[in-house]
Amino acid sequence: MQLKTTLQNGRDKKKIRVRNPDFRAAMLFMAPSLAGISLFFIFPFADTIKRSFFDTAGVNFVFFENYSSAMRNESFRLSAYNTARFIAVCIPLLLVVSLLLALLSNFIGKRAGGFKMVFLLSMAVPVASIVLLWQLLFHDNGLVNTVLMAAGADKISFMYSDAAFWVLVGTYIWKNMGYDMILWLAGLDGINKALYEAAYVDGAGAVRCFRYITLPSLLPTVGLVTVISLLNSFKVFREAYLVGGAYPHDSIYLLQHLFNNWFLNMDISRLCAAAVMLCAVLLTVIILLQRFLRGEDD
Amino acid sequence: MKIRRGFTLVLAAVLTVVLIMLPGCGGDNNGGSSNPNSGPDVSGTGVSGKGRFVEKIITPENANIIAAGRLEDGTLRAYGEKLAQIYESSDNGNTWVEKAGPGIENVTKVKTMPDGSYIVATGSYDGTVPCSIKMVSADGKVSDIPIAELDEAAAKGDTAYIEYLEIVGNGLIYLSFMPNMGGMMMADSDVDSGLGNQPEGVIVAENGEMNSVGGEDAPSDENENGDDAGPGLSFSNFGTDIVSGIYNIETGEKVYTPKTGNLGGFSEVLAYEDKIYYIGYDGSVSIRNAETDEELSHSSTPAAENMMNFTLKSYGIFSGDMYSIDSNGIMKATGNNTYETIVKPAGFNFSLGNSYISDFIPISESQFIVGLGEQEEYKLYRIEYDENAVVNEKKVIKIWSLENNTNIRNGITEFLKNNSDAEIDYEVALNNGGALTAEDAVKNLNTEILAGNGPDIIVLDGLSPENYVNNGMLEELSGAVDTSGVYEKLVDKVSGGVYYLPTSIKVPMLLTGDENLKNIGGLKDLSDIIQNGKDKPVFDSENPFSVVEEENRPVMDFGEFDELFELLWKSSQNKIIENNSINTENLKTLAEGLKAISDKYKLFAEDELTSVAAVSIASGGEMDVISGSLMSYMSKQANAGGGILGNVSTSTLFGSDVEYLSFPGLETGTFVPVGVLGINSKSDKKEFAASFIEYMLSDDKQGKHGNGFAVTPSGTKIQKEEKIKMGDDEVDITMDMEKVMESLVSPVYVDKTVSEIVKEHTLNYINGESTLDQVIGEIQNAVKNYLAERAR
Repeated sequence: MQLKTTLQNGRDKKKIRVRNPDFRAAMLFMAPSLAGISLFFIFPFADTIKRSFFDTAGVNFVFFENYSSAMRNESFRLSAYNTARFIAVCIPLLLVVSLLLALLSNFIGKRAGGFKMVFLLSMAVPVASIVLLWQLLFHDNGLVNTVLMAAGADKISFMYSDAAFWVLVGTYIWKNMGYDMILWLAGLDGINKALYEAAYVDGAGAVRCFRYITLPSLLPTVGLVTVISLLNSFKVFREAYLVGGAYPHDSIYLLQHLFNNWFLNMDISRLCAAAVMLCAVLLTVIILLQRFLRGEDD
Repeated sequence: MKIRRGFTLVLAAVLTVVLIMLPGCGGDNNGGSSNPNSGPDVSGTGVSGKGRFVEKIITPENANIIAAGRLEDGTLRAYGEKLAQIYESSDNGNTWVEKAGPGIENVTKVKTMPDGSYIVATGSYDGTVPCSIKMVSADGKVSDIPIAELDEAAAKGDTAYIEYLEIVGNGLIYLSFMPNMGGMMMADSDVDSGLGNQPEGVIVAENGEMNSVGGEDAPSDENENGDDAGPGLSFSNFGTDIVSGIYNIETGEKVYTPKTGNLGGFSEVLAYEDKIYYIGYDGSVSIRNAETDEELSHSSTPAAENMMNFTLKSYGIFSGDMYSIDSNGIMKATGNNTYETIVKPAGFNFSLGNSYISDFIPISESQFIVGLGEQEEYKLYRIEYDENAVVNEKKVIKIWSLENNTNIRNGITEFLKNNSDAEIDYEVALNNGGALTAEDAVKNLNTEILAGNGPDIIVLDGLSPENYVNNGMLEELSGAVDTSGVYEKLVDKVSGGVYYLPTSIKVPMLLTGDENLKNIGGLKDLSDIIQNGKDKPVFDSENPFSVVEEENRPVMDFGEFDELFELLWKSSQNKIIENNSINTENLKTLAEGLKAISDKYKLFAEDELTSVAAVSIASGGEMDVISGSLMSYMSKQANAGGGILGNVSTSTLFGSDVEYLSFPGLETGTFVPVGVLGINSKSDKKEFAASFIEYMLSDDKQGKHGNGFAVTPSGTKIQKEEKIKMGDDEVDITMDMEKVMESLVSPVYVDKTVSEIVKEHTLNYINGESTLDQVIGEIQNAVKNYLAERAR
């Protein structure tokens, strides 16, 4: 009896949706976008998955050979480690720095226009200029080394030592903190001001307000900013490639370097396998993050 | 139900759009490229009567032609040797009428006037014959045009050569010449050192230092001590000031000097109606009024891919449109600094490496007369669009190459002579220094191959053939191409199959006649012998090629470090990169060898002056660079020379008592495969592609000197038996090619990434900036990821 009711309810729901006159229009409006996504993302990705199980010529099915070969490959392991390390260092750092900037901007209030602009300017700087700046600053005979030597310290080979990793981290944070700050500001704007007023009336200080009102209210924004920052972190390859070429110092040899080089070597099958693994890891991270945030939210 | 139907409808629509778009992104398996030589296939059966450009030889029978021109009434005229005969054709070369000419010696240029009269420049290429300008009227009367500057030069005893002669109209000519002009000649010392006595196709080149060698005190065949300057070398002066101007035909007076300074020199001058077109070396064109010299328009540099070949490029004008011809094809200037390809080069003789475009006369938008110098013989061709020409779609293929390979380019043209219904599109990725990098070019190729849209044949030079084989991109050739005629040691087998074949090879060689140097075991031995040998003689800039007494000669000499490194790398790479890792012991030996030789010959000493002149010797395809080391050996300043050779003609420069040994690097017996061909496994024209490879391996192709060291025993035999023309003489090949082939052991596919890294870091060791261990560590680190990526 109960089952019948549920089915009946289901049918009713269906009927309601069928009668929705906007559904067909919505589908039609979505069609171009769906076509674009299918053409440029879904179909190619399906092809990538297929290729990862075949040899490069696409003739012989090789099961998981490409996956295991990629996993065995030292370059893959190094680049995956570097990429993970880069993300693990950069994302939390960027979230904290940009949130602090957003809070500071909020604190300054209406006069924060110039402040915001300073941090947003980095977004407008072309990659080629960033690379030039990088070279100007961090070359063996660049500005930073000149200053270090003037201060009596030893030269640091920024390009060919582990320092290259930190230079890349710095570049990424400098380039993205303005953008993330704007996202945080949007999140902060969405918080009901009455909550703060009530808390102040109850005697809460700034720290308590931040801990019990701001942070919980920003949780949905955390997810968005994290995912966007994560995806942006892959764009830092451009800087690394333009500065260090196809084979930079070990510490900044990223997955994209490997992908680029495997493509040049026609090692397409392993490239596809590695790309599928990367995608799977990213997807897992994003899903876990969403679940975690949803759990916190509930 | 309706929702599902609606959704299905939308999805179906999306899929339909996608499916319609997909083929649009691809194309056929011929690269999707349209060949301007032909139109679309209309029959769908493979064979179509679609029309295409064809080439017809129209040289008058039994005539030795030196130039051609066209009259106002459309009559085509060809000028016989010494202007003894004149040939005229009113049907664009189908039939000719022979007439007696005025007979003039030492003619270097002939330019036809619209009314049938013509202007003649006389002189010689080496400037040894005084030059003059003559006018021959339509009825054959010869009169001198007195050019004051030429007369002055002759009175001073200076030589000169007319660089440009162009008829401008209105009784004016454009003239450009260089008084006090000459050049460095390489020829057998027993014969005259004129250009005609060089081995066929010798290209004489010189670097900046060589230019400064000239002057009034320039050395001749004999130096101050009366010694012979070495076999095959003679010198003459290089002038500096070019005289140019517009002259009156009647009086010889200079009317004005064109103000073409904004072009920075020009490669060609054309006249049309009352305008003169000055074409700069970079392809920019300044159009000026012939009478007033007023600049009417100035176009800047056109697209890079159309330029750079200026030395072999020629221009013509039809109906106010400018056309150009070179190894890239016949192109029409379309304004906006761009050129449209009218005729692609494959299949036409003007694209051959051993031909020189002497005359180019566009006679309509689809008809061109081309005068070609081919191995000391002038031939006239008419290139025209034939509407009835048939193209077999099954014989339309594309060949891809990273860089231009003249041997392959020539092979395509020769092959198409026997396959008139075929078309081959030769795509050179790094054509003429365009913006594309090698990495981008390889990425493009890989993308095309993966999309099933790649070339049918891939020239694997500069790529890693093994990668393409391992990834299943190349077709197994055993069944398709008969490889039985190829030296077995030159056929690389991967997983038991043959996937690619070289069409010629180059060999790192040690040239010496010294018995003590013939048994050098390897790099260590060579390095020791050099260390214990004589120092390099002090460079005499006044007399750079003076002979050094035998007992005072160093073992070898090198002009620069790059030359030394290339030679050692190509004879050592296989011992340095082993199983995707670096053999550090061997790398140390190489670095030590490089340092020892560099130090001994002071290759990096700041005040050290060296002779780094390089001469290229070619007879069509492969070109040998006679580098500093070989130059020193040739001019008897060292007891041995080293170089990477691929042309048997080169042996004519070194005499008969020279032994050609495999260069002693970390291994001996290395060779560099050149023109390595593989068939795309996804090609649907494998059979025809295979027939092209077979042609490249045929005796016809392999037996020619200019096509590099043969990869077949029969080709080697034919090359050995063939004599080399040196002027009127014929010279035997002195290089024992069979012995050289016997000594070969292993191919070297140069890994540019590793070699560049090794070179860069080794320099730090040689310059004393790093220790050997530091450098080895740096190299290991730098190549670690590169090599690890390749490990499976």
